[in-house]
Amino acid sequence: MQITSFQLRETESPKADLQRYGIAVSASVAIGISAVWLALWTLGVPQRLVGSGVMTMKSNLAVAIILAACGLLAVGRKSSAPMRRRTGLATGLAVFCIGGLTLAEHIFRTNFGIDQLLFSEPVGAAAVMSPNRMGPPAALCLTLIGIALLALCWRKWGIAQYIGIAVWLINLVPAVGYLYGAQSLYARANVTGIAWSTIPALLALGTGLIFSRFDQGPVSVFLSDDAGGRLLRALFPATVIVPVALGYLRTIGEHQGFYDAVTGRSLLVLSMALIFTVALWVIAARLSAATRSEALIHRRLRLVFERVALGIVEVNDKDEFIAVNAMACEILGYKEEELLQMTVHDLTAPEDREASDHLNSQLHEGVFERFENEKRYLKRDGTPLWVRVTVTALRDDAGKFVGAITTVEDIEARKKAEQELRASEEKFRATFENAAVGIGRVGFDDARWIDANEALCGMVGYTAEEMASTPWPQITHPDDVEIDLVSFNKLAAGELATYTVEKRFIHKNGHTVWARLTLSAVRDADGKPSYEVAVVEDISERKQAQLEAEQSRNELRFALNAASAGSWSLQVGAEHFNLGSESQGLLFLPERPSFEEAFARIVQEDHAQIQTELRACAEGLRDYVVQFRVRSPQGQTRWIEAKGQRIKKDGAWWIYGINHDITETKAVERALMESERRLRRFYESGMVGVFYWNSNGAITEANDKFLEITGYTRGDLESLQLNWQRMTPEGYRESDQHYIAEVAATGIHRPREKEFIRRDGTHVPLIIGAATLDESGTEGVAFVVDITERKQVELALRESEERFRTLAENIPQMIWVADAETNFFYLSSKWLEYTATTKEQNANGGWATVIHPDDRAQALESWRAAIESGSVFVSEYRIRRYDGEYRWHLSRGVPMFYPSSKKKLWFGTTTDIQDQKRAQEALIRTEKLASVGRMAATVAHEINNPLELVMNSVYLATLDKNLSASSRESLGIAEQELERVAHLTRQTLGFYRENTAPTTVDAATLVRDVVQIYVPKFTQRRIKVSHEQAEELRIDAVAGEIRQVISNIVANAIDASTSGGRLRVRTRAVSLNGRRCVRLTFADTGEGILPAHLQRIFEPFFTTKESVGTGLGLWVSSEIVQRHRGKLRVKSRRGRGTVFSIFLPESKHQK
Amino acid sequence: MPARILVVDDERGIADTLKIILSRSGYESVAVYSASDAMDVIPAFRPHLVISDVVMPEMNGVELASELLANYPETILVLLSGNAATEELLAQADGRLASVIVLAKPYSPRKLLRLIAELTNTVDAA
Repeated sequence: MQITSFQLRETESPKADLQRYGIAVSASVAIGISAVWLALWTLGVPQRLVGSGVMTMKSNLAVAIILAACGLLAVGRKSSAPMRRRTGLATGLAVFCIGGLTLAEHIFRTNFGIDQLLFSEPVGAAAVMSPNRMGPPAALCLTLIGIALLALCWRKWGIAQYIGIAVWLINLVPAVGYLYGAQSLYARANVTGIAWSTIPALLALGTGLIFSRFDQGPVSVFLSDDAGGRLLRALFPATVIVPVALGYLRTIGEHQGFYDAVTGRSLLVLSMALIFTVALWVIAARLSAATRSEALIHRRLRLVFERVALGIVEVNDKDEFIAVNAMACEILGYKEEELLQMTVHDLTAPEDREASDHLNSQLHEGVFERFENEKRYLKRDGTPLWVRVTVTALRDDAGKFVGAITTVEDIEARKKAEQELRASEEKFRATFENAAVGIGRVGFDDARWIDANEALCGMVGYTAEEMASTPWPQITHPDDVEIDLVSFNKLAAGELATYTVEKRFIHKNGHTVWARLTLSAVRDADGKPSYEVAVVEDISERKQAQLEAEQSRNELRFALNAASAGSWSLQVGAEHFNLGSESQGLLFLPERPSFEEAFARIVQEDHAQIQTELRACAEGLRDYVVQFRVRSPQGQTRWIEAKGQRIKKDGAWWIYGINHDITETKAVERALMESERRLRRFYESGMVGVFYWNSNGAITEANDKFLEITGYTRGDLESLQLNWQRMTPEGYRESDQHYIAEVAATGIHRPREKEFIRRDGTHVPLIIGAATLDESGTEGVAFVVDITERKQVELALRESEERFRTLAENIPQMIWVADAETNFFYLSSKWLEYTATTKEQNANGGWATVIHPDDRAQALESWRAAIESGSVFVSEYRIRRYDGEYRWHLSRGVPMFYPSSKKKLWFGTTTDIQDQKRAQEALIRTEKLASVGRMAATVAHEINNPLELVMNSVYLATLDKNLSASSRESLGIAEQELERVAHLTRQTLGFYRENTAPTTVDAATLVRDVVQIYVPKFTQRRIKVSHEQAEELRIDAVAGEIRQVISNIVANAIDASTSGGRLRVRTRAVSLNGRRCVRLTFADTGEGILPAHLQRIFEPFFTTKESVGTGLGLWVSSEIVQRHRGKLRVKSRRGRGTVFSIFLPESKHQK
Repeated sequence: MPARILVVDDERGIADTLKIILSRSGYESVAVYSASDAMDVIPAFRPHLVISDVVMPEMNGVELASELLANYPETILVLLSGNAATEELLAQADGRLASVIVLAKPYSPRKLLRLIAELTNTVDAA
């Protein structure tokens, strides 16, 4: 998923060399000077100098300096070698002891007797406290140097550097003293005594210590590349050397008497002021030039940052964006200020965050300085975007991570292409291995199988290994090698991209296997064929059936030909009419019919034509040729072609002719006309380029689309005499020859890709297919589809796509063939897929196991009956699908007798009729409901009459003036209750009626009537009902049916409002699709309908109320509303409620 | 002059009770038990209003209505039907029958009397 590269941190630099040489030179100088002095001591020179006033380096000091120099060489540079560290420790300790003890002698004015351990010195040497004892400055320096060495051993670099500087300062005092002849600065034995030659040795050691670490402390400032470093380096010589040198010159001048002390002082100040001013001026000029060029560089960088076509972002050490350029914003779809609020972590897609964070933390820690990574960022709209980032760390001088610069490159397109390619590869791989058809790859050079899938191996009986070592001609039937080889060679030569043959393989067992082979060449990047993909389908069974079918067809044709021609003769102007016996059958006539009888058989519309032609023939104008239809008494129609000639016989004119059955020819003609019509539509649709061609290459006609594709105008078509051969680029001419041959041989040209040269000279890639229009094959039609776009997009995918096309060509059908003995001996792969069974499982009656147990006996019985009577097999039964669901299927098989095998075969299909079956069941159930309704109507009449009588009687009773108060009250109640019963029966029983003619009714009244019935239910469920109605709105409706719909919806609303609520009903006029409609709205506040259910509630038998619902209510409702040319709509939100709307067309009979 | 009302119903109980109810309310009323009897009585009785059942043997209420309105178009006709389809039947039968008032059985006598009062008042006014 990610490509990452790292660049490790630099560890070596030129400074390391400087350090190495600096230390080596310093140590050498110190050792050199001290060694000379030790040699002099051995020769006794210093001893003899006593009394001369010359100051000498003492022997202990010389030894200590050599030791210190060795220590410096050992530990001056970073090293972890134990030997070096031990050397450093030993020398450091020794130097510290020598220096420290001597210093103690000076301070405490004692003598430890260490001074003359090596050499003794006579008393009286210059500027010494005691013979052969070094002075206090040297002793102090040694002590410090010892400490510095020890510090280096413990890696306290800073200390060593500061000690180096201290050594310099200490020695600067006597150095100046020697220079200006100030004896108190170098010759006071108890304070400053030091020999002049000691000074450079100690300075060398100090320098070495300073070199031990440059990238820290004061020295780093001196050496740094920035302005400060440059300033210091430029000024340092001036500030140190100039005063020293001028002071020396002044002293010399005064000694020589060139000027007095006052003049000397004045000259010193003057010259110093002058020199410093000049030096400062030069430095300032350089600095400002440097700053200017830096600003320029900065500006350029800024420009690059802002304008470059690459996203650039800068982050700080917390991974927060602190600068982003315009391109980065554009790639990521964020505004600059938005990005500046975010971190890298936020922006990275969640799936890549872990990896990205890990890389960043390694960058922080300094594992590497730079890395490249491919990952996904989240764009502002939340979509992931593949980018390649290059992250470079920014560090301060101390090497601390302060941030990073990242370049961001959008690689979405490349990633997508990669993924598609991979997916397509995988798809192909899966298909290859699991395909039901055989697939294999064949090499071009040796014609050997590179690999073959299981299906292919099974087909020919070889193992995959055996296949790999077998050239395909070896397992091909000898008669078929030639045809296959020709195409194979053309494929190898690149003349063909793909071809299909039917050929025979030889099974390992020796028998023949018929196969349909589709081969496609796969080319490498250079376009050279590398191997071919073979898709092999076993068609042995089909081939067998085909052979048999062909045979029987031939027999049939012969018989038909023999029977379908019949002769006749007719005497001109007389009654004589003879019809051959064959013709009688042909024209559905009894024996020896009269002309009138025969004429009556002919379809009315064809009479006129026959009469005209007969007359013309009788008059000798032309031969009699006519096509007409005859109709049998049973209504069967037959097309007849009659041909006749006028012949003189026995002095009279006769027309002699024959009749020929052309019913089939006519059917073919009709089919042709139909396909011609379709072609025309195709031609004019403008989706596909179409042109008509002839074998000379001329384009005789073309549609606009073809002209558009090729860039010509209609004028060009006529004036330029377009020629498709001339429009074909050179590279395709040769392969065209093959296709021309194919078209000539088969009449069609399977679609393939080629190119045409457009009017402007560019090439347009396209898919072309062609077919001949006549037998001779000299004229034809071709279809052209422009695939420029596809070509571009699919270049990378082409290879696998092509392989797929060859696979996708055969869609298996659910077809079976059976005979009386073996039952089903052929079952199409669709059956096997559908039922998830194997051929073996279906054999020997095993097919019946997938039939539902309840239907099995009946299905087998039907099959047995069909076999016994040799008749058509039809049965409906449920078949178990691969997922275990039983679905209704209709199986139908037609028997056909095969003379060759002397047996009957049933050719059958099995069709999924689950949905029809359901609809049928639904119909039966509604039929039941309707009969209940009819019964209800009858019952209503029977109940209503007695009720009427009771009501009348009770009323009469109330008229009795002698009634007691309580009786009157009782009668009052009786009357009220009767009124209620009357209302109820009117409402409920009134819904069902036999008459379904629509009447004009008021919609609001319908609603009110229904809602009224449910009032008790509403009260019980604590549902508040409001009814908002417009002025009277009339609809043409079968009132009872609409009441049923409303009742259904209201009942559903009550069921949904389990915990009370509100039902709002509204009637109003609306416009729906331009029609004036009445809209009845029912809005409840119930539990609502699940979105998944919402799509299905109008399906029959869909119910969520398993125990009480029939699942028919809403289905019936929608049917009723549809019948009223209305619409039923539902909207629902779970937990919020449901709104049903019934739209019904407004009646034209408005008041 | 009280309005004359003819009651037609093959259910004798209904016809009789209705006749009594109407008489008590001051109408001059006659009850018959078939449509053909009704056609016999009408020429002599000349009712302002006829209340008839629909489902009857031989001649039914709708046929009666058709016959009656052809000969006596000014007569007000009220059909008391136990069958909800009566209204549609009438609508289909003939345009003239649209003026027939159809009531569903059972119909409360109180409401019927109110209706008749309204209808006969209109007659008087005319």
